[in-house]
Amino acid sequence: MNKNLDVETTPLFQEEWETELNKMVQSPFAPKWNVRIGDRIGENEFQFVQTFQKQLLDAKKQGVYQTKASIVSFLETYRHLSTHFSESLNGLNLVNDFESIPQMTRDDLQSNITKIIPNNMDLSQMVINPTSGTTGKPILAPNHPKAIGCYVPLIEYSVKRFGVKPIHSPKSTFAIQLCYQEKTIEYATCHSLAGGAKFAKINIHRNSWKKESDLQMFLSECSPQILTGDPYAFESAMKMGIKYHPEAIHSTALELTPALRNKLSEYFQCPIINFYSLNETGPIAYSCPLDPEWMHLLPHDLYLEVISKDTRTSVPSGNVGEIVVTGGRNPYLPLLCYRTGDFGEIQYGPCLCGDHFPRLRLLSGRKPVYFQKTNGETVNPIDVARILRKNPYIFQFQVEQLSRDEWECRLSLEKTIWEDVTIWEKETISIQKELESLFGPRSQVKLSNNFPLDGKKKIAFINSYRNEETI
Amino acid sequence: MLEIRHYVKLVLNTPFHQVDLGSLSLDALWFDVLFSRTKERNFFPFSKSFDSITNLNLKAIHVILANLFFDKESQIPEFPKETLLNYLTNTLPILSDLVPKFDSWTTDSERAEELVRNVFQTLNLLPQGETKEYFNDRFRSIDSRERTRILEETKKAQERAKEILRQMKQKEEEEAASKYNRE
Repeated sequence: MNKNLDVETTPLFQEEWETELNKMVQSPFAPKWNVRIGDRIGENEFQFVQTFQKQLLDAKKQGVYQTKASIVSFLETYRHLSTHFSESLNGLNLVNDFESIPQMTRDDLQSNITKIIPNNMDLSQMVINPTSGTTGKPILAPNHPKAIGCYVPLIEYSVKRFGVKPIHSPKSTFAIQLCYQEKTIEYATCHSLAGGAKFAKINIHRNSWKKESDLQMFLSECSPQILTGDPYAFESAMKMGIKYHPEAIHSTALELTPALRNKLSEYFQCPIINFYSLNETGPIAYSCPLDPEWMHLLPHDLYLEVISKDTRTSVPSGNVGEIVVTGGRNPYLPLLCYRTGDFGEIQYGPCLCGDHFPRLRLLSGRKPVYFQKTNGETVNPIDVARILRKNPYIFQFQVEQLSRDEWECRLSLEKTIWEDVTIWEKETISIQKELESLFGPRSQVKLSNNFPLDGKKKIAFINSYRNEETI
Repeated sequence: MLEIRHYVKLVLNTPFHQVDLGSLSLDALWFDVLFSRTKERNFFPFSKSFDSITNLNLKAIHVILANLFFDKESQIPEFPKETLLNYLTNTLPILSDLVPKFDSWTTDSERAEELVRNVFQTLNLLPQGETKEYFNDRFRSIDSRERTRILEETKKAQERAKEILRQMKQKEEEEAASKYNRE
């Protein structure tokens, strides 16, 4: 294999990082790496994140979070830069008319992204981080390496609150991200913003390893400070009997039920940090060290409100509503009252844990769904999403397991396709074939194209056959 | 001055059936118009002859305007001749390019009104019952040049949108930037 890192992908990389990283990449227990990915952090991005981190720590220390009054300067800036902002804020007085600002939806991100991206932005630095599509049609949120770089201080802040002290050295592995999928990208890299500390994304599925025992050996050899991933991956790791005790587990992407949290904490013997983060917003909140049911707003530059389903206006503490965010630091995607599609309640006031930013209790996040193959093995819905997402005609989808060998796959399609019977028939057969081969022999997949595309976040995966089972 | 509708009607009723555009002398036509409309007698020969114009569409717009100014009942007050001649030399070719069929000016009442307002604005003439502000407002809303500018801006925005979508598609296939967690 050639060099793992170079100035193209990791502009600030140093020779000694390569030496350390090689040990991980070339370990006899290593998984089958399939891509090379750097952090894309150059000098400018590095400085940007340093400043962001300083502001974050100052704001946390003083308990100064973003409010309706303080977000005005952000709105003023983008009012002149983004067509979406200027149209939405036209004729409005930002201080008095905040409630009248039209809310941005997933639909806007899917259909009007070109109006949201500020005019005259240099597009060359744009990065698209593909999502696993756990909620149907994913949003291709454009991002900038400097905004992605800010994940480092935000994640580090959250783990420090649980007693983990990140070691900024190329000799250290800060995190390993676990996935459990038939197929996914796997890579090892160093993060410039963490002094070259190593990071790897691995697939714990047996497809990825030369020998089954390698995974266990690899984890012990790398000894990452923390494990990141989604509840599904952690639960799979637990079921596989992986023996590793990280300093903490950092769980994102799907709802972490209290039952699974307790099981994971007992099994891995470490704190479980629940992290609320969306591709389009970046990190939003992390669970309070004293009360895991509540999550503290994490960044200082994001204004968070909870709005009523009926009036679409902010509701006071103690009321449940949709979580709406404004602000952020992604220069390609400034958010203007963005409706996340997630529901919860917000509470203000000091917290005994020491973080006095508002606290959020998510009502119901994205619940993990487990499909079962005809031979009894579980299927990660992400693999289903992978098949459906690569088809350019499919805008949104929902897949439901009806019985042991019956599935229904509901699709919203590009109009020209379902109007053209010949193309559609050909597509149907190929999708059916691919899904049935994933679900196993004798499985039957029924396809329909009556799934409405309305920009709303909908459950993408339902298992009505096994949904009585709980974790 | 009369109300704008009178002038619009004059434009719409331009007697093209009496005109042979090919053989028409624009210099002779404008001489007659200006001779009948002014006490000055030293405007001829024009600083720039119009007889070299061969574009029939442009010639036709000259005819429409000549007809508008010739009618004594139109109560158009006296105006500086040089301003009109400059207008005919510099602005009309642009309008002729923007609206490539002259009969658009005589069949579409909004285009007719645009032409009247266009020349009236240059000559600083105000139809009866209108304020300067109203006049300008109305003119902006029907001005072909303004419409073209907006169209061009829209086109630019569309091109940028296309470029953004193209880049997004390309970047989606490119390698992303590493981050510790997934969403």
